[in-house]
Amino acid sequence: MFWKRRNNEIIQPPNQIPGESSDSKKYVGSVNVGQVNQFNGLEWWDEANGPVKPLISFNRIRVPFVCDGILREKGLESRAKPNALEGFKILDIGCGGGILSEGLAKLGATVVGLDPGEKNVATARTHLTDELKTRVTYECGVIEDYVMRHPPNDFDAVVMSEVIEHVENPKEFLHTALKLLKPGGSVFITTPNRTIASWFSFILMGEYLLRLLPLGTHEWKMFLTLAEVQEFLKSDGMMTVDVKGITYNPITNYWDWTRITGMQYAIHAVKQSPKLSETSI
Amino acid sequence: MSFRKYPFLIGRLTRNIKTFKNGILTTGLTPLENISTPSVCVSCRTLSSSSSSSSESESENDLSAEFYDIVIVGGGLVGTALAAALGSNGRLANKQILLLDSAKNFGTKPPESERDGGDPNFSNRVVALSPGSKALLNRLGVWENVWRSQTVSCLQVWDALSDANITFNYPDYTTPVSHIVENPVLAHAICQTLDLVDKVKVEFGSKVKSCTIPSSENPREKASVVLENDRILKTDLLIGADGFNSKVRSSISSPSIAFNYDRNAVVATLKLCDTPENYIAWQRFLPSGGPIALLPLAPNYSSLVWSTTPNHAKELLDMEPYDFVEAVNSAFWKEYERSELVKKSCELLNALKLNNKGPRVLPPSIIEVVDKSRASFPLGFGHSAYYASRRAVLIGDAAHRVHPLAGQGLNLGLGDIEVLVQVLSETVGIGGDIGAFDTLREYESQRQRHNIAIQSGIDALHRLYSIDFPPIVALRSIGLSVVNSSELMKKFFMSHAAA
Repeated sequence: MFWKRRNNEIIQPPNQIPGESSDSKKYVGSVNVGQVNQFNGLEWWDEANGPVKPLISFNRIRVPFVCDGILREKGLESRAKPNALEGFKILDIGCGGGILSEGLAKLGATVVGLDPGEKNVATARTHLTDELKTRVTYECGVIEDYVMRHPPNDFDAVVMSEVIEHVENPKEFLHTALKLLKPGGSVFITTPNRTIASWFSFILMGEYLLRLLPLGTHEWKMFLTLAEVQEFLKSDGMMTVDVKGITYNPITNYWDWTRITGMQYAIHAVKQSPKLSETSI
Repeated sequence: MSFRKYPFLIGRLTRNIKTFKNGILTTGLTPLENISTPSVCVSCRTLSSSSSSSSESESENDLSAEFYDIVIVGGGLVGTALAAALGSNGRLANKQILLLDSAKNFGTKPPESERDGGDPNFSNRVVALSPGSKALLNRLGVWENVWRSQTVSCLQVWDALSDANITFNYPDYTTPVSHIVENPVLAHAICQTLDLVDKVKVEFGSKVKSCTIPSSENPREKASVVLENDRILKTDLLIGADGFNSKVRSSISSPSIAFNYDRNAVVATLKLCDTPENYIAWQRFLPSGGPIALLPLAPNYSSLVWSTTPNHAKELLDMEPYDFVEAVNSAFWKEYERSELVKKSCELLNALKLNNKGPRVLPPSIIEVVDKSRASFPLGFGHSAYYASRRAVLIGDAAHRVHPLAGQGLNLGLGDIEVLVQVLSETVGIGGDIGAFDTLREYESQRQRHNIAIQSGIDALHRLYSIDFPPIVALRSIGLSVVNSSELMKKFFMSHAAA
């Protein structure tokens, strides 16, 4: 789930990140091994008191965001029936323990979850029920590697939830990931904004004072502003169709949408096919 | 300082209610604990022994165990209505639902039965449906199948020990405050709807031997139900709609408060003297016993619900029909001796013109009791501290039981259905697990906020009107008259009862 800035020279990525490898080899692909280890093997599915409990309740808004976004782009309106996402292929980059992947798969989507943490992927795999196994596959690896062994233009949607703030070169990272997206396909990104308010809530309150997140979960300097992300997306031929602010109440563990994007935001952008880019809104 | 160390601080808002509940359990009602605790303990013990044995057999029979997404235990009005509501929800369309009922059939009353005799053949068990409940049944398509019901557009309540009275009605006198429906008629209507929902499987004569929910260490395991014939069912979500002696409630080991009021409700179908427009429900609070209520069924017919002491209830059942009619009439009309204090406060209220708003309508006289319509059942209070657990949830009387004096029992249950279906549908919509504790706790907190308030209100009313100590009678009369004279307060009570 967690990626770190890579130096600009190309490093040949190995197939997998060894779970307990030493920090001497710091960057693999876009990933920082040390940071991956920090999240590798977390208690992803401990709903009651796991350290990632907020990520579970986050599904309440991010699953509808992705699902409604995909359906709206296809001219389908609602989630009123089960398996609304049947037939759609989604890539969940930085899937961690598979919390979001499973949520989307339960709506009928075929999901590939990609994560560099070996233990994360193992956790995600063991958590799958027999029914979900038919639709969800997890791969341990980095995007640079995955892109080489996977045909381009294959996914209906690419999801990066709480991922790009952990990546060293997000522009390059997005560029690589978006190769996999079909023209007309959607990318969904959720990430914290780089504002004073977000430093206060994520770093000071979240990690140091209230200890809602493990120390070192976030590095504020790496957060991206909305304008930056939109700029990266635009340069990759993506058109932003939806932007929403996100609020989280740690006392009630409740997520909600807001107009204010200063804390955390969600973006939905659509890949323009070269011919259509002028006409479709 | 870490919030995680102080779970009571970070809990959802409803934790307040949970601590409040614990407050009741540990301090408020200590004598009641004596009643409730032993039964809970016994059931826990039997359950744990049976669950350990069943878990052994489970591992052997795991492959043969049948699986349903949702299993509803109990096919009463609430259980069947829930099955119909779940079955007709679009998002839950691919869920396999099983409804288990220990009876041979739902005890429905199809409309044909009216035609075979001259007498309308009313059932003696009726429910009062609030406008909110009717709206829900309407949405489910149940209401159109209710072939007989009576609209109540005015509710008249008065105190036998004073002149105080209160009238609930909308200004136009036609907007219904309630609908009286016979239980079998409603059961018939619900089953008509349920028949159209083909993915709900109904099994009659299925007695549940034991239920097991997953341990907190393995919340993702399935819940299991063992039937009397040793069949094992596995499910993602076990719903207990099995009444106040709920087996599902014992399986989630929820602490509960349960006590009997030491009152029985005597029910009967009565024929009235010349009441072609029967749209007023009458209720009089009697000293020693409880309220007697006359609920309109049809022109010239009303249903009686008389809450009284068990001994008196037995006398009433054994009486000759003529004496019974006499007793009912006298209960509505008899002038009880009043203390000076109460007389004085009534004078005060009259002087302030708080008491009488126009001429008071008088209840109809009863001329006949329908043959074999008399019956009696005990009244009790029940409250389950938890409605939800891992893969199990309680609904209706399994979660809460009230005195019928406000006619709210089924309305609370139908309100549970509405919220539970909404919560489950939302959960499916976000790709969540319908049996997850967090999902079900959302239902629990929403419902307890509402139900506990109504339950305590009804219990308090019962207690207040069980007293004949003059100062209390005087105070409650003043209180009632003040409420009656204030449109705002009446609106408040009506909107709460209508929900």
